[in-house]
Amino acid sequence: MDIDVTTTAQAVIVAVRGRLDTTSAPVFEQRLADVITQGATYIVMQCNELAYINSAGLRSVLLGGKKLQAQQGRLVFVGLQGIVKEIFDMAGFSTLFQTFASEDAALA
Amino acid sequence: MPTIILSATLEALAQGTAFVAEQAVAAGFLPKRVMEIELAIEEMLTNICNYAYCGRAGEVEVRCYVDEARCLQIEISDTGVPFDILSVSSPDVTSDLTTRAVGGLGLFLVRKMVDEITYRRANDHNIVRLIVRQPS
Repeated sequence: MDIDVTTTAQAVIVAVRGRLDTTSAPVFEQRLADVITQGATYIVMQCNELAYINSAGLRSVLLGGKKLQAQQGRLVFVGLQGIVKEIFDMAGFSTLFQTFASEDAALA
Repeated sequence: MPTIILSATLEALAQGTAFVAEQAVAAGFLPKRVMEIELAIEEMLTNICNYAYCGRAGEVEVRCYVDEARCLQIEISDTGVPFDILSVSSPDVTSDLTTRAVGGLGLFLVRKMVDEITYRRANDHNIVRLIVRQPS
């Protein structure tokens, strides 16, 4: 699992690649927490190269989302596809977090 | 019945999911369905690793076969603390971000990904059977 963080004027874009599972979720959770502590208020999760997510991954997303909400921030998603989108929808995360068709749409 | 015995550690998880996935593929399940089955097995094994043995070493046994109807029959058993997975309630997937509970997602996903789950306790074992049917 790789994470790339890019800061722009409008948002912090967190691109996650590979598998967000039991082994990688703690790493992701910590990275997201760091980005939030550094003051991000609008975080765009870029998932077009995210191949797999399990409950541990969902949990770390949820914890990050709650943490961000507590400082009046928002976590949104771009690029959900395949089984990741299926799991995201199934777990009700599509109602918790806004999703966009593209990064441009998320940053508009 | 093909059986694999693993130590209940996260490192051994992959062996368990691969063991079941191989038979799912052989039974003709499509790649997406195989991935869903792998997810269910991963969630089951993760729960056993995290909770069954309370920090002590322990084992988990995974049995898997394809029946005459080409349904995938999976049995996962452990000798950890008695735990009926069917007694766990699902998270409220309609709640908003503030009230949304963090736990319960693993078993929720298992329920969604397989067609049938049964639980029984026998000889100090928790035994969970998962059945995945061919699409109709």
